[in-house]
Amino acid sequence: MKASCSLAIVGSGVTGLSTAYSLCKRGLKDIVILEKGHLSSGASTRNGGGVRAQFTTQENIILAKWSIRRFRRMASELGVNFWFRQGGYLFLAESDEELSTLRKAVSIQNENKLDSRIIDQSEIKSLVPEIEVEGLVGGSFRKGDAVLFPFPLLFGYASFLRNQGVSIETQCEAKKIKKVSAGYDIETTRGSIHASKLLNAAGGWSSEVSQMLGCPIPTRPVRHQIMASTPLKPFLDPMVVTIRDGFYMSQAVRGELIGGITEPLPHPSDTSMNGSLFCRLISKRITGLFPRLSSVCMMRQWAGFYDMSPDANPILDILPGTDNAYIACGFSGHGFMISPAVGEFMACLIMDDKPCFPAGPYRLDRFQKEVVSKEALVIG
Amino acid sequence: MVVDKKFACLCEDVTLEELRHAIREGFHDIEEVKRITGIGTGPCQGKQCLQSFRLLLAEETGKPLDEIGLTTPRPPVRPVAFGLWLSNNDGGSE
Amino acid sequence: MPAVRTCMTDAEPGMVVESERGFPSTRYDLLAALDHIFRHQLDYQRRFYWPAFMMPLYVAIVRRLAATSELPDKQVSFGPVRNVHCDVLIIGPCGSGSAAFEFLKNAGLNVVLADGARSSSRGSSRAIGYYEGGEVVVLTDRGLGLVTPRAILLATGIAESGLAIPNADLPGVLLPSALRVLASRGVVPGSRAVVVRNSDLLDSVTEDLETLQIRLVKNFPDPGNTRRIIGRHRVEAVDAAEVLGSTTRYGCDIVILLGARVPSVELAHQAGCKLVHMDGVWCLKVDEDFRTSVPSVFGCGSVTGLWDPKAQTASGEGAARSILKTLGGT
Repeated sequence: MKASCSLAIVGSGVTGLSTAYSLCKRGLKDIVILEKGHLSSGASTRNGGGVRAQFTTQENIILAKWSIRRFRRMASELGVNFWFRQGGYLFLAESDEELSTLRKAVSIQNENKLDSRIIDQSEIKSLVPEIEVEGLVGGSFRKGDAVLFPFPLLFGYASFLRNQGVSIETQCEAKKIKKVSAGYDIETTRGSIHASKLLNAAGGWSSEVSQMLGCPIPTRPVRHQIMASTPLKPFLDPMVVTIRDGFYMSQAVRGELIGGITEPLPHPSDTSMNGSLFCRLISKRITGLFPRLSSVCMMRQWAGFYDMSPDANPILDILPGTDNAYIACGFSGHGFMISPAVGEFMACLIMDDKPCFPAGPYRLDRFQKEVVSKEALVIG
Repeated sequence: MVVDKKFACLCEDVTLEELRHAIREGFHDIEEVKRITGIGTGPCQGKQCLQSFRLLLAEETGKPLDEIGLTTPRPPVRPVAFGLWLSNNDGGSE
Repeated sequence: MPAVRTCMTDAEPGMVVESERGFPSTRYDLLAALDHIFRHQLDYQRRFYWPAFMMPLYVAIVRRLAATSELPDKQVSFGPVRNVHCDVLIIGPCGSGSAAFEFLKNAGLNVVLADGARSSSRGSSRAIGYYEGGEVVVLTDRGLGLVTPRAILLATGIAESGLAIPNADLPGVLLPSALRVLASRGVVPGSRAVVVRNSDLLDSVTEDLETLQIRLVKNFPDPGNTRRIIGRHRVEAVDAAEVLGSTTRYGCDIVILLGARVPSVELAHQAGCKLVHMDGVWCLKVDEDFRTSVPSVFGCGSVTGLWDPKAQTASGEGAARSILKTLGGT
C-alpha cells in the first residue's frame, strides 16, 4: 500500500467510486480507496438496482433527475453494460389517504419539473396486466424511472480507476484516524497511510468512521432484507411499490424478481443473518398483488444497510472545523440511484470548485435546526 | 468451428474462460468474481460449481486452497414457492 | 440432467415436457448461431450498450432470450405455515442422521428427522433454511413448518460437484448421484458409458451401470487425461490424451463424471458454525462431543469430513449420546 496520497476515500461503494471517477476526470488521480471488505461489499452490492426520481424533497429530486440523465450515457463512457432499463416506477395506493399522499408527492415532483402523474385503476392494469387491481385505489407513475444491474457499474468504475492509477485497497479496514498538520494519518489493518484530504463515504459505517475523526454525525445503519426469485420470462416492466408497507419489486434483465418490504422494529444489526418474518410478509404481499406468482420460488434472500439520516436526505459536506475532511453519507436507501450526481457534487467540493448543485440543503449543520424537509418516500 | 466451452456454472452459463478473464482483470476475491461473472447466482446457488470455482481461483491467484473460503450462505437452501409462506390467521401448531 | 440438484420439480406420470428455449424449436434452434458468433464467451457485461439509443432495443431482446420460465397458469394454494415443537431436529440425508434418530427416539425424546426421504409413517420433510433466533424452516408434505428445537443435529451429507471439461453440458452427462436416481427408477439413459472422476471407480457407479446393463467403455481415474466430450445433440464420444502426442477417441453415449464430493455445509454456514478445511473441501468442524461452534448445534457424518460409512454411523450414535447428555434426557 502507498505511504501517502492526496485523497483517501473510506469506502469503495458506489459513492466513493463515483466521486473518485469524477475527480479523475478533473485531473485528481492520487487517490487511495480504503475498503474493509471486498470491493463495494456494503449496500452497493446488496441493493435492488432501483433508480427513481419520484421523491418528496427537492434535495433528492434534483440529484435523482440529474443522475438518471447521466446513467443513460454512462455505459458508453465506462465500456460496461449495467442494463439500465427505463420501465418506470409505479407507486400504489390502497386507500384514499394513501392516494392523497401520492397526490402531494406528485405535486412537489411536478413543481420540480418532473413528469410524474397520478393514474387510476384501469391505467395501472394496462401498465401491469398481471396485477390484481382489486384493493388498489390509484397510483403515481413516471416512465423515466428505471432499474439497473449494480455489479457491472461498480466493476466498471473499479477497472477504470485502477487504469488511471487510483489504488483500491480491499480487505483494508480503517481503524484509527489522526488529524495531523498536513492532513490525516490513517491506521488500517494492512498498514498506515497519510492523506492530505479524507472523504468519509463509508455508508452503513459512516457514523463509525466519523467517530474516528472525533465528529459524530446523526446517521445510523438500519438493516433491510431483500430477496430474488428464480428467473421468469419478462412480464413486469415497471418497479411496483405499495406505500402502505414499503413493498417494492421489479424484474431484472435475467428475469428474477427482486424485492423487499419494510419490517417492524426492532431491526437486528447483523446483515449476515436473515429472519423468516420477512419471507412471510413479502410472500403475502407478492401473492396478493400477483396471484399467479404463488408457485414461483424465492431463490435467495440477503440483507444490507440503509445509512439513515434524520430527514432521509443525504449529507454532503465538508466536516465542520476542517478544510480537508469531507463526508458523503446518509443516503437512507437511495444512494446508488443518485450516485452520479453525488460524485460530481463531492468532486466540486473536494477540488474547491463551485458546487454543481445548491449546497445548503445537504449541510450537516441543518440538523441543528428543526427538520423541515423530510423525505417521505423511503421504501423497502 | 464452434469452440469447446468449459462450463463451471451450468445455471448461469459461466465458462472457465470468463472466470479467468475476471480474475486477470484484477478481481481476486471470491465474492467479487461471483458478482462480476454471475457464477453461483442461479437456482442451485453454487452447489454444483463452487468447488471448481475455488480450484480455479487458487490456480489463478496462487493462493493456497484453504485460504479460499466459500461465498456467503443464505436461506433458502433450495428455492421455495412464495405461496408456501402464507399462513392462516390462527397459525396452527403441532 | 447432469445434476440432481438443479432440477426443481419431481417428475410425475402424465406430465408433458416442453422446451422453453430454442427458436423456433430445440431441434432446429436458430439461437445456436450465438455459439458461433460469440465463440469464446458471451460477456454480457461488456456488450450491447452502443450506440446508446439502441439500448432499449438490446434490453428488450436480451430480456426475452435470457429468461427461462413462463408465468404459471394458475394460482396454487398450499397448506399454512405451522409452528413445530420438538426436542431435537435432525437435518439431512446422511445415514448417520437416521442412526441418531433411532437412538434419540428410543431414549424418549421428541425428534424430527428432516432427511428429505419419503416414509409412510412420517411423510417427508427437508430443512430449507436456518434463520435468526435459532429457527429452522422445514418443508413438509403439509407445507412449511417453523421449528425452534432445543438441539439441532446437522447430518447434511455431501453433494457431488461437476467437472468443467469441454462440452460437459451435453445431454448424456451425469453425476453418479443422477445415475443412482435413474437406476433406482429403472430408467436407462444409454448403453455405453465412459466414467471420468478424480479417484477410483465408485462401487455405486459399477453397481448402477450393471443394474441398467450399460457397458463400461472406459474409466478415467484422472480427469486430466480427458481432453473433451464430443457430440452434437448428445454425448457421442470422449477424446482422451493418454499417450503424449496422440488422442484416443472412445465412443459412448453417457459420461459419468465427478469433480469432488463436497460437504453440504450451507445450513451449518448459515447458522454461523465454524468450518474446517480438509482434503481440499470445507467441512463442518465438530469437537469430540460432536458439538459445532454454535451452542445447541451438533454435527455428524460425511458433512464433518468422515468418508467411511462405518465411521459415519458411529458418529451419528455418538452425536445422539452427546445430545442426550446435553438435554438431560426426558
